[in-house]
This record gives sequence, C-alpha cells and structure tokens, in this order.
Amino acid sequence: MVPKGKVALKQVDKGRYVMDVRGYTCPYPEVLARRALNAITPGDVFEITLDNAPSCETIPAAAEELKHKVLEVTKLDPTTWKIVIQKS
Amino acid sequence: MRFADRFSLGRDRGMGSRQFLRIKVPAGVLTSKHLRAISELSDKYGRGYAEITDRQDIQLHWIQGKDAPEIFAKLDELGFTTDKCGQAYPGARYGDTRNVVVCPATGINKHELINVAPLAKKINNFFIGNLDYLDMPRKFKISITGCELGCTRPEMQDLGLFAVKRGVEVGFAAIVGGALGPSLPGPRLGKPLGVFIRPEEVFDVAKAMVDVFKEHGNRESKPKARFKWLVETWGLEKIRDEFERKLGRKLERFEHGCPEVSGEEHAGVREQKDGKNFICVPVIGGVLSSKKLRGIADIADELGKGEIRVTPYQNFILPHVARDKLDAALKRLKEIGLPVKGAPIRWVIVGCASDFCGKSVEPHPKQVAKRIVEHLEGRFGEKLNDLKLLVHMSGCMHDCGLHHIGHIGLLGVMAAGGDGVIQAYNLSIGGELGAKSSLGQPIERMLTPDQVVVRVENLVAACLREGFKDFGEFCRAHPVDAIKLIASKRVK
Repeated sequence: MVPKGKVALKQVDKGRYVMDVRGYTCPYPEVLARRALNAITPGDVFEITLDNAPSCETIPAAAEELKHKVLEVTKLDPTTWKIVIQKS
Repeated sequence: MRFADRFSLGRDRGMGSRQFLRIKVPAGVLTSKHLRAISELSDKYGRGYAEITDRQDIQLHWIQGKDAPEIFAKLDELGFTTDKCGQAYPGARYGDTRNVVVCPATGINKHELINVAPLAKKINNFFIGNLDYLDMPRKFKISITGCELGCTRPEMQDLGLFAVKRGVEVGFAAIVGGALGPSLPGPRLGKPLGVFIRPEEVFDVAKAMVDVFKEHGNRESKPKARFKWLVETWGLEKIRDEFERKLGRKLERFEHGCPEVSGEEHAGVREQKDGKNFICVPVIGGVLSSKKLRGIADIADELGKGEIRVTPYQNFILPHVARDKLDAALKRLKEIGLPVKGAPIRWVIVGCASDFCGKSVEPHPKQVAKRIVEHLEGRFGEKLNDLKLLVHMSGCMHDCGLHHIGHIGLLGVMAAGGDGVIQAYNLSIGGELGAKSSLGQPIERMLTPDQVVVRVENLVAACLREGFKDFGEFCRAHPVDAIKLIASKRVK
C-alpha cells in the first residue's frame, strides 16, 4: 500500500519529533528516517512508528552507521513497532 | 514518496545482504541497453552479482536503503519497476500482483498458438503502481502462455492462463488457486476453471479474478490470505460464479486439462517463425555476474537484434540470430563462460535464493543444483539427452524453488551438526505438472549433499536402465517403497 498524503515530521515537544510511516515497505521507512535525522538538531529525539518489520533492523543499523543512539525498539502490537533514536 | 507505488526492496538475511532488488522484466523481454544498465547497477550497488528468477525478474542483492532512491530513479528512467515486497507485514495486507510470467519464446516460437506478450504487458501495466491493487490480502501471481511446452507452470499460479484450440478457434483456458508454499491450506496445484476465454477477454478475466481475491480474500489471517485458501474454502463453482459476476457476463463452459510440461524449455538453438533462430542459454540457478550481463548485451547487439529474454527456468534467450551468425554467437557465448551445451536437465533445474534469505547454509540449493547437473552429465553423458527429468530445489518450506513439482524435489533443512549448523536436504519424488499433475511425495529426510547426489544418481541410473524416457513415468511405475530402495541402494 502507499498511504495518501505526505509523510510529516512533527514536533511534539521541545527536542522531540515523531513520524508515522505505517503503510510503507522497505526502503521508505529507512529513507524517511534518514531524512528526519538529517533535519533535526543533535540531542533531539526522533520517534518513528511503522508496520514494516524489516525496518526494525534497517533503521537501527542506519542510525548506528550515522553514530546516533538507538534508545528503543518496541513492538506496540502484533503489527506495529516504535523506534526511538537520539541524534548524536 | 516518489516511487513508493512502483518500487520497493525485499528483505535478505544471508550472505551479508540485508535487502534485495527484484526488477520486473515485462513479458521477459529486455534490450541490450537495459541489460548494460542493470549490469552497472549490479557493479555499483550489488557487488557485481545478479540472478534471474523463476518469475522472469532480475534480482540484485546487497542493496542499501540509502541508495534506493537513486537506483529507483535509474530503473524508472529505463521503464522498469520492482515487486512491491509487502510480505514482511505480519498481517494479511499489502499484497500486489507479481510479474506476469510468459512463455519466453512468445512471438518467435513457430509452434505457438498465439503471441501473448501484448496481453501480459497490458495486465502488468494495469496493476503496476495502481493504488487500488497494492493492499490486497497477499500477493497474486499470474502466468500466460501461447506455447505448447507448459513452460509457465500454470498450475502453480493464482491464475494460470494457457492457449487452447476449440475447433479452429484459439483462445485460453484458466487454472486457478495454485500455490506451493506452506500457507493454508498447504501446497496446492491449481484447478481448471472450465471456461473458454477469447484473446480479447484475457485482460478483463485477469482483472475480474484479481477483483474476486481483492474483495473476498481472507484479511483476518495471513496464513489464510493467499487466493488458494479462497478457492479451497469456496470451491470452484462459487469462485467461478463470483468471477463471472465481477466480469459482468458468463463465459462459455469448456472442458480442458493442463498443458504438458516439457523437460527442456525451448533449450538450445531453435528456428523462429521468421526463419531466424533463438538460442536458449542454460544458467543454473540463474546466477550471472555483471561482466556476463555486459557480454550477453554485446553479443545481442553484434549477432542478434539487441534483444534478450529471461525465462521462467532462470535461463536467458538470445533471439533473432541469423543462420550464418549462429556459430559465431555460440562461440562468443562460450567465450564469456556461457556454453550452450549439456543435458536437458541443465536447462530445467531450478534452485532458489535461500543463500540470501538466510534459510540455508553451504552448500546452498543453487550450489547443489550445479553439482547434481555436472555429476549426472559426467556419469550418464548423452544418455540423458532423451530423458525428461525435472529437478527442483528449495532452501526452505516456502518453496520458491518449486520442489513440490519436481520429479525429484529437494527441500533444504538446517540441522545441528559438527560445531554448528549443517545443511541437509529432504528428498521427494513424483512431483509433476500437466495431465498427470501431482505434488511430490517425501521419501527420505535429512540427507547430506553427498547423499543427495548419490540418491539422484541411483534414481536416474534405474530410470535409464529400465528404459524410461520420462522420470515421471518411472515414478508412477514403482511403489514409493521401491523407489526408496532404488534411491538408497546402489543397484548395478
């Protein structure tokens, strides 16, 4: 599936951002996560919600490659995950 | 997201690769320019490796997510798309239609009833990137052929179309609900729909059948989400009724069987309709290097018409070679490491990419497939030339290598052994497509690759000794227990 509308990076608090990429398969969650991490400031926290299981491997790997800190990979329900990353 | 409707990457977990790129080749036909571009992508992003799949795709591995936008832009420029690999989603969602498999010799095969390339392209073009069909319960597989060799395996498709003659009229028959993986209700061969389809109705038929799946396929449970579950639980009559309701008319009833499968898949040099020739080149497991891709493109330009085709048996075809250029083409193919020689089994052995899925360890199915072919050729030589024998190998129960329908089927299983994990194979026999279609029966489990080669040799030796030309007939002529004995005990 391809969700309608643009995927938005939303600021929910000072230094905290969220993005919902449910509906996107590989590589888009990783591509969007990379863009988001590029857009925020060092020290900020980025939380991405997704339903594409392989991205739970590729996004943390990309974050580590970029020297960011993966704070959390959590399964929210049988089809949804949340990954939290702090930009270095 | 640009490209998200037509491009994606799939998950790998082996050989150090995390993601693969499966490029759909529409109707199996590409140009030398396409092949060179894919070769460049393989060099730049995929370690110079490429493989032809049994759905006429070209697959690259070691693809990094960060490179995907650039790769997709290049493929888009070339007019290619990829599978939308939504199968990693844990539920029954994000299914798409896969590349429509066609006879690779369509349009040039002088024995075919009808050229199906335009029909396949029309179906592909409708579904690719169509947002209404990217969230089906699961994937949907279609094949269509106008040839006499059953090379598109209609019984293992969700919808398999094949040309038939009714009197002097050429049309199509359809088989529905085939799929060999373990999802419920288990491996199934498709069932004849029992209707006559005129060529001009093919697109509407494909769309209507996909619509039945899209609307009624099981969305509650992923294991029940393939079309075969709907066909099994509804029965053929209800499927046909709903399909005709979607189609908006009833089709004429038509009794038909399944096309016979040849043991050679248009192998070697064949004369075309127009008097030129095509060369079907064997590529065990479909494994090619970027260098070979460029070599093939060069030969196609110099000695053909710059066209190349990929086949459902993971080989490729070099079409449009004039008679006086055949020797030169064969010589050039040999020079780039792709000789057109060997037993028919070389053209029809199938091995999956479980090395990249991470579902097998060495020796992987493609490696064992190569070993089996070379061993049989060395042991039996020209005696194999008249034997119809299909050997199919899968690295896991998902059966991408179609072991259920091989005369000899090998299913990879990993087992504890030595200091870690060792690769073993379960052996089944008697799988068959065509008039006597059946799924293979397991006869022995946990064989080492060395034992596999000996078992296959023993079986082929007995088959030849008893004078059979078709390994399927050899299997049917013996009780399973007798075959087991033949396989495990060398008989002089």
